[in-house]
Order: sequence, then structure tokens, then C-alpha cells
Amino acid sequence: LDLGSAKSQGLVGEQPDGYLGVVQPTPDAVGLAADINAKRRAAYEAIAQKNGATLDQVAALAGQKAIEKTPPGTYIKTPNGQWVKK
Amino acid sequence: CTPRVALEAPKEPITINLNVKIDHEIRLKVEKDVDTLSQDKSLF
Amino acid sequence: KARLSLPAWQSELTMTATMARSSQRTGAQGTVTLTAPLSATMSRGLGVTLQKGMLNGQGRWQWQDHWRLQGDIAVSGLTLNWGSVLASDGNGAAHIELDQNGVTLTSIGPITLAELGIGTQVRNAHMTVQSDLSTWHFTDVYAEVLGGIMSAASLQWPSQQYQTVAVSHLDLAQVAALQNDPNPTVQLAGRVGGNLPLQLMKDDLALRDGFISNEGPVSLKILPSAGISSMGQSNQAVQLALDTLSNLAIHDFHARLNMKPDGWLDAAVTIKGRNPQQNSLPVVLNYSHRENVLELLRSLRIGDELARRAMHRKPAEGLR
Repeated sequence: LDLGSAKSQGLVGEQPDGYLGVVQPTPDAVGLAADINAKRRAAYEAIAQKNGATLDQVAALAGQKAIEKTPPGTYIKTPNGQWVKK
Repeated sequence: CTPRVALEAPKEPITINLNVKIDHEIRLKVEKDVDTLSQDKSLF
Repeated sequence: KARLSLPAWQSELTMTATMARSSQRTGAQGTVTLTAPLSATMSRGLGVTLQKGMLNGQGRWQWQDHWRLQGDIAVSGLTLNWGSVLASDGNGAAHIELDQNGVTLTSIGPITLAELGIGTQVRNAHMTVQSDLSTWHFTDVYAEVLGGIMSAASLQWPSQQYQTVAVSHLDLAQVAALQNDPNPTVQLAGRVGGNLPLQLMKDDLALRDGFISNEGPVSLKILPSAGISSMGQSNQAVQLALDTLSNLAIHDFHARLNMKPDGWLDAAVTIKGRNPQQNSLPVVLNYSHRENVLELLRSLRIGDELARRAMHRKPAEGLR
């Protein structure tokens, strides 16, 4: 299961906090999200370190960008926690 | 005549030169790095 | 009578046409009306994202060897964003003339914009407009910014000319607050005004020989903070300067401002005042300030954006 198809099948979606959220908790989706989020956290940490920002600031900015770039028809989580299709 | 006492303020003004440069680099560098990161198809 | 409705956009365009057949030439004429609620779905390829608003238009068209159209359009309650810049509650009406030489657009009365978020809020803007869609002429331009007023009799965009915009009653406290410093070290109070010759080019803006001066008494205070006191300890002269500048009653404040198209602003500020706590010691402060204003405004907008998201989250979380 790769990220692209997981998104198009509505299993996972982008969240404002910068991490991938599980919409349909199938084992594959949960496993994929955990793996992706670990890699994202490491990448955010590196950016935060390099620029003297905090991890949360980097993650929040990445979340905002990810939501903006989400293609219509795939899931995003609204600031108050609902999953909606863009 | 009435005696007049005036406390003379110091005549010569103190001159201070102050140069400030503000750099907004950090936030915009973070945004650039995040932009490049978000191109990574395996992560986003 | 043809009626074209676009359900996705809930818009409706109705056109009537009557053929005019005369011996020499054929032609046609008729009316056109358009009602269109503005929405994000219509914004693809526009360069801006329409969020709200209503567009109404009606006019007469003729076709005789070439098109001619005369009509009026009106926009109400327009809210859109251009990147992170947010424009809300725009209203206005304009007369349109379209023929083989091109288009002319002329506003009917002032067009208004309640709020423009560029990092700081520009409010209650109004002006009249005349344009051929490539050059825009604005007249009686007015807007409120930083607690004061910005105005210009006429402006053209784009233009290489330096066109003067007058500013008045700007609140120095709000100018200082642009630094968005959670614990500010400098406290400014007082009002300033002056003239800003601007070059309004297609994609950027420059300022040359801007001049700002105080409209009344101004005060400057340097607030004690860890950073300030450590700076003082390191150097006697610095400590003297900090003490002197700790509290200034300023009678003469003026600044020369230049900003290049890349956004880098150089301000040379001359301040003359007295320190009431030091036997009204006379002080002259020559302060030079260098900052990229476009980066400042962008980082303020990014800050606003993240704050807006955070604000959404707090109340709702409580309800869940």
C-alpha cells in the first residue's frame, strides 16, 4: 500500500499538525501512517534544528502546505477535528 | 530685583548613533525547507 | 432568448438576440444579464481564490462586423485571498464598454474594501477606478492603516513614475508593534505623517526619498529586559546610551525612508528630545533601521494564519 493509493482510497488524510491521519483504520493504513509520520518527524526535526525553529512550528507549517496541496476528493482534517473531503 | 535661580539643564546634548538591522530569515528559511520537503512524494 | 445556467457555480447568464436583416448587411443585437455568486470553485486560473461575494451584470450587445457591448457590473460582499493576503467585504460597480479597440472599465462611484490583511490591517479603503484592463487609474484613494490615514489624489498602476502617497496620524505604537515581539524592548508613542513617493510597478513596489515627521510630541522608552541589561554591562558607553534612551520626551522626530523593489527598507531617523529623568538632559539620537518589509509582512501573515488555525482549534476542542 503506497501513500498515493492510500489517500485516493480515502484510508488516510492530511492533518493541520503536519502528520498523516488514519481515516479508515485498516491494519495497512495504520502501519503506513506510523511509518510515514516517523519519517516526517525526523525531517521536521532536521529543519527545526537547522533554522533554530521549534519542531511544532515546522510541523504546523508543513501541515498547512500539505493541506493546501491536497488534491480535491481526498481527505483532510479540519482544525476542529472532522475529516472532510477537499 | 528678585533673585532668580535656574537649574540650567546641561547644554551640550548627548548624541547617540544606533544602527539596527532586522533579519526575518529564520521563518522564511523554514518555509523554503518545508516547501522542498513537501515535494517528496514518499512523504506527502 | 438563450439561458445558460452553470449549476456548479449557481450562476445564470441570459441573453436575448434579435437579428437585424437589412439589404446591405446582416447584424444582431440584444441584451445580456449575469448573476453569479462567487466561490472558490470559480477561481481556478484566476490567480486569486474567491471565497464569497455576488456578481451582477446587465448590458446591451451589438454585432455588426465586430462586437460591441455596453453594460454595468456590480460586485458585493466580495471576500478573496491572494496567497496569504486576505481581502474582505469588497463592494463596487462599474460601467463597461467593449468594442474592437478594447475594453474600458469606469467605476460608478467609489469602490470600497472593508479590510485587507497584508500582515497589518488596511481598513476602509475606497477609491474610484478607470481602466483598459492593462493600465489602472485610481483617483481619490483613501485607506486607514497603522491607526492613521493613507491617501492620494490619483495613482496609476503600473507606472515607472514616483507617485506621492500622503500618510498622516500614523500611530508609532502600532508601527513598533509590527515587530510582533512578545516582550518588546522599545515602547513608542505619538503620531507621525509625511509623504511617500512610491513607484508602483507591475509586480513590485519601491519607495524613494520618503519623509516622515512627528505631528506632535513623541515619547520613546526602552523597557528593561535581560537582553538590554546584559548589553549594558558589557560596555560602559552602551550603558550610558541605554540610560539616556530609557525615557525620552521627543519634540523633533523625522525619518528619511527608501525601499528597493526587493523590499529592503533603509530608514534614517533623527530624534531630538530630553530625558525627563535626567534633569531633562538634551539628547540627539541618530537611528538607522534596515529591514526587509516584504519579509516582515509575509512572516506576520504566516503568524496570522497559524494563529487563526490555532484559534479555530481551541473553542471547538472544548465542545467535543
